[in-house]
Amino acid sequence: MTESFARAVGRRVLSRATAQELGLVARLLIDPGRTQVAALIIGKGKNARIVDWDQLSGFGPDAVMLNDEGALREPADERERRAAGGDLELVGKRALSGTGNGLGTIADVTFDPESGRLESLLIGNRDVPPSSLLGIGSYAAVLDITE
Amino acid sequence: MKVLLTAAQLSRLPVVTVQGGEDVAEVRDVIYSPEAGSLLGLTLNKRGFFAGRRREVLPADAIHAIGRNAVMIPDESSLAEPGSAPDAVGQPPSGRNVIGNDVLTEGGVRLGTVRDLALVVGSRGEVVGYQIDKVGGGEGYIPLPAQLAVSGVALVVPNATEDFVRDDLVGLGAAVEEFRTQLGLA
Amino acid sequence: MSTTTWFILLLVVLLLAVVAFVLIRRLRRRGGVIASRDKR
Repeated sequence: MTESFARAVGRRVLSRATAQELGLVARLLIDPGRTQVAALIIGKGKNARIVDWDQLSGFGPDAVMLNDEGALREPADERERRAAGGDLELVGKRALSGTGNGLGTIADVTFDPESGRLESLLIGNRDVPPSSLLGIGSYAAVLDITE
Repeated sequence: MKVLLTAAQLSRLPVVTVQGGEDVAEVRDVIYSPEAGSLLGLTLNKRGFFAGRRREVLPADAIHAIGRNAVMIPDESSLAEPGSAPDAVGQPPSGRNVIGNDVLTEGGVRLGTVRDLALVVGSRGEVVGYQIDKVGGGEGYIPLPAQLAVSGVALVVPNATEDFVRDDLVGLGAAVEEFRTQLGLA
Repeated sequence: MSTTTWFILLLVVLLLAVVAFVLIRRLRRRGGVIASRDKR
């Protein structure tokens, strides 16, 4: 069973401890090494809260379960603030090769819901390994691939 | 992979950092050496419809790659203060814009007017020809090294150039080799 | 001149100033193709 960013956005987030609904998945944040989903972002703007992947008891097809409400935290650094604001959102981002040629836009990102490991980037009709990401910014994601 | 671009296509391209994925500037002037047939550097504008010029310049050796959609630099520190860049890039000579120059053979025949520059790009920029508005009308391409001399108003080319005017960039590619061989430069 | 006329005049001048500013900005952004002066 594989998950994707586009499908996961909007999914309910509940606390396993209290069964309370804490919000909806707004964005997914990947780690600087680009191998892994590092955290989820719930809520937008000032209300955005981050949950690290290791605080999840399960990432299910119908709901995302947190260990407890205390797992929600504020963005801790510049990178997390930018991510919460949408600057680093991969889905819909312009894809550019390191050689300066346009590759299309990133349609989706797939990952393993058990481990959080990233599987592939969907660009146009191609599956691209996440390891080919050289840089992600507000203008584009730069990839080490040829067209 | 070699890509053929004109200077007009290069102008206004975003300058994007590989590490950061940010568009830090866009291309303004294309500065080249007619003698060496190489791209020397680019001057820049800030990004945005209402934005002005950018002070920093981009020398050719700081460029990571040039493609159809962007000029790639490793990071923003690749941009240089005008004082630290080679003179031609940091203080581009005025009155040396070749667009609109008359193209004249050494024998005194006018071939047309310069419209654009044709470059092969990759990690370096090599100028391979000029795009001209031909005297009889229509577009043509003449291969480098074409000029014996360049001024602010004219380009002087060898007589043989008359036989090497091509209709498109693809034809230009083939013409460059032939032309250089004929001139004894290959 | 009436106040209304002054007002209109002022608006027109401001509009022209804005247009001029934008045009000058756009013109300064135009790129050229510059041949360096090569040393011989």
